[in-house]
Amino acid sequence: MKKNKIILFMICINLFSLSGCWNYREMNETRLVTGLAIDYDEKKDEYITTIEIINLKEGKMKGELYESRGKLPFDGIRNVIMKTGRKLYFAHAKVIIISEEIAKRKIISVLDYIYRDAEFREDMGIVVSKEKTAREILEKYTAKDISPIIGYHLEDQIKSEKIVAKYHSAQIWKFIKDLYAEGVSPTLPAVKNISDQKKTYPVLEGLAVFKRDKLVGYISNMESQSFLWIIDHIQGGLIEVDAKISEKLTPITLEIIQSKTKIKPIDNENELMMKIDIETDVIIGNIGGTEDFIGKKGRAILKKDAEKQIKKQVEDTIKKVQKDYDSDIFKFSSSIKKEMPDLWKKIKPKWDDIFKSLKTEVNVVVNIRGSGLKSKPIKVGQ
Amino acid sequence: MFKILKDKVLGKNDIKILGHSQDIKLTKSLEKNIELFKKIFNPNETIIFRKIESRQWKDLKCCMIFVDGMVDKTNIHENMILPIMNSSNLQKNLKENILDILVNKIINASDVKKQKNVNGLITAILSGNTVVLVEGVNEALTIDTKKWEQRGITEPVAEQVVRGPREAFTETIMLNLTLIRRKILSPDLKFQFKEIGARTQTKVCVCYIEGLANKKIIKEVNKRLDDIEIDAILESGYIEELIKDAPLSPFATIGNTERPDIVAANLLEGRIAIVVDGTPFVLTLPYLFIEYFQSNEDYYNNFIYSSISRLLRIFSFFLTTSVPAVYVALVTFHQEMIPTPLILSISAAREGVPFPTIVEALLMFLAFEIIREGGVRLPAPIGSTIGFVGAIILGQAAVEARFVSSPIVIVTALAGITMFLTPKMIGPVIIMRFIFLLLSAFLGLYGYIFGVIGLFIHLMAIRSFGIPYMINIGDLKMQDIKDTAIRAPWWYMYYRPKLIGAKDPVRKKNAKIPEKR
Repeated sequence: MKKNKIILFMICINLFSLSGCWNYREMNETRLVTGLAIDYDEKKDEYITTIEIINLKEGKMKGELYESRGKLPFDGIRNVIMKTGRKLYFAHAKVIIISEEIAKRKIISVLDYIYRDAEFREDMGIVVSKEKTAREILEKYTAKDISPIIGYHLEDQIKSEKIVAKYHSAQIWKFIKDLYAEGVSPTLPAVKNISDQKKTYPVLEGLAVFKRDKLVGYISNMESQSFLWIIDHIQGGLIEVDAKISEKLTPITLEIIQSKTKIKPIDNENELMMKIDIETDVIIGNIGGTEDFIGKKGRAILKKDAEKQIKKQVEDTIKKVQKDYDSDIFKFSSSIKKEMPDLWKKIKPKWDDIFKSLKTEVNVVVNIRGSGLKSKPIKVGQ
Repeated sequence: MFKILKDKVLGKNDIKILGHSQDIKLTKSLEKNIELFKKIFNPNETIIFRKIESRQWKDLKCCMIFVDGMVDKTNIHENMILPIMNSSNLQKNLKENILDILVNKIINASDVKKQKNVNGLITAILSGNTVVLVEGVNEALTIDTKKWEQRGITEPVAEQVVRGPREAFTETIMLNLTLIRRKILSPDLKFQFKEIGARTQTKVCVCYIEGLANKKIIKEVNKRLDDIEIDAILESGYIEELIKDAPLSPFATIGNTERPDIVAANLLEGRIAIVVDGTPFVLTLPYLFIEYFQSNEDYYNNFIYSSISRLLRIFSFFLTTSVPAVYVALVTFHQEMIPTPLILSISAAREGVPFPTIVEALLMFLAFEIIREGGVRLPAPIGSTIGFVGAIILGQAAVEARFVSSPIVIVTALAGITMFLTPKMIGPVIIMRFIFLLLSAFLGLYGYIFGVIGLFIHLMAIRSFGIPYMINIGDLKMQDIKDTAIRAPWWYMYYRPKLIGAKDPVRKKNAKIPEKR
């Protein structure tokens, strides 16, 4: 009995002495990192890392930029401590901006660091800079009254994907998952600076298209929306439609409330075809004229025109990606693999060629579910 | 014989005097008997020896011994002294016992007993009875003449309610038993008296309802009470600590209350109450952990509202024990678990604070406990001043001077306020909070979880008079949880609590949901 008590006591003592205070870290001894920009210096073969740190000293949030160089990103980031004097804390970093140069050639070494390091969150946003360097995005930011910290400003933009639905945000883990998948190529949102009333701030614009792990090009905002439609990731956003009643074109904005896309590969006598069925519920958000598109007749016309337009938009996007980039960002290969695993094994080696000439059939159904608060267009009296 | 007694009384303070004077007997001589009692009580001027003789019956000589201030003097004067003085010789032959004549024909009193035992006589005198010694008899009479000033029935101080009876127990045991008896008019309600404490001879009463209370528990209670060896019992807390199941645990396995309605309800559930003379706090047992969260008002209010209040109390128990520990763990170990906007405001508040978070937390809790302890026993006007000064100095000035950060003030205040939702558990809560806090400070959330597991192992291991302390936790039968974290409506509580009221488990035979009327 006494022996047992001694053993229990020893275990309790060890609990404290062996693990005691492991990972203990006071918050005012660290600096929170909110965003990183990584560039590549070809001449010296070095990574240039710019990190944004929050300074809370004066009670007000202030972003500070620090730059460092290293053979690999990790090395560079460690060196920043020499400048800040305090440990850096990455768990609250929200965004990592990589330059085009890195996206084209060296993205793996950046991803590896972030994926491997214990502090980074894997749901961090990752974007490709359309500017010359990634640093410019952090450096030229002047809209401090929108958000004092650019990292958080970018995070807010990424989060509003659901409402805007014109870009597809990529979190690190999703990007890496897509890299792992056979045949599939990932995308990343692209970011560029715009100047507006003497303020400069970054905006997300379209998507950077990768082929495996190499950047091959960009697609525009509208094409990104089609992309979202194909991968069944659209949860909101607007569609601009020109509807025609009595030979007169009226611009109409529809708001998407719900959408469902089914992709099905069909093997038609050795000719593979992807069947894409889109069903979208919309409400009429804005009518640019006095014509009645809410009544039965007008509504049918609007429905038809909207379906036509979405179909065209989606088909154009698929064609462009097939022709220009030859990169399966729509994850067709995944659905083939899932539906027809035997066929996938056969076509796997020559998938790139097959994708380039893959036939698609797009069927769009638009259901107009409502017309906002009003059931009639505005009428102009005589 | 006197010498032995004298040595015992006047010699070294031996607490066993009363136990040993059993072999001392009264003699037939009144003078010698008076001498004996004077020796025992000397020097004590509150003891009054009143010698009287009858005017007509020359043989009747008595001495009354009583304690001044504990007896009803008018009663003694009118019903004892006067009749004895005025009585004529009623002794028809010498064989007739004078005491019997006194009891039967002369003294006007309802409670009169004959007693030979000196020990018993001493106790009788000290508890306010009048002892009558008679010349020529080696026996004495004890007459109940108790009367002293006592506090009336007032509102309970510690357990106030908005709805419910407003009476509380007092310091007098007989009055307290009356309060219980008035609620349960059943012949099954039993009172068993004991005297505990070698010197104080405190009256202790074990109450239970026969047919409801578990006989084994009654036996066990009696055994434990009989085993008590102590010279004084001044409050029921003495007994609670002496017969407790888990003597080292901060958690109570015996409940206490100053409300007769709670005692009555406990008795009706098959529990046992121990009433102790001299204190308004009555013990109830077995006591379960869940009773900490129950209030008598729960049973008087609407059951939905009562259930919400109980859940609130349980939730605040977790808050008050865990909030400081979790805060310290998150802020010093797991910053990644705090949402970004929150960590920004916390680190902005911590900027420039000289102490580590744990030191900050310990300082604040120390200050809080000091203010609480200081305010508890102060008269109300001064008490509020203490609270005011504490709030301003600790809350505002300390934060402004950057001695502590403002989140820790919020955490302290939150833990401090939620503590008072379970007022009976303040002691254990403070200890647990402190242990959790230290574990968190060393090991982070791992340490906190470790502490919680330890707490649960401890609670699960405790039994209260054979009943598992956490009996209703970890068991999800509808009839068992009806009166735990929630309070089911009365028409749904068919059964008495499991194990405690096991002898007669059915509370309502023809229970049914009341119809809408």
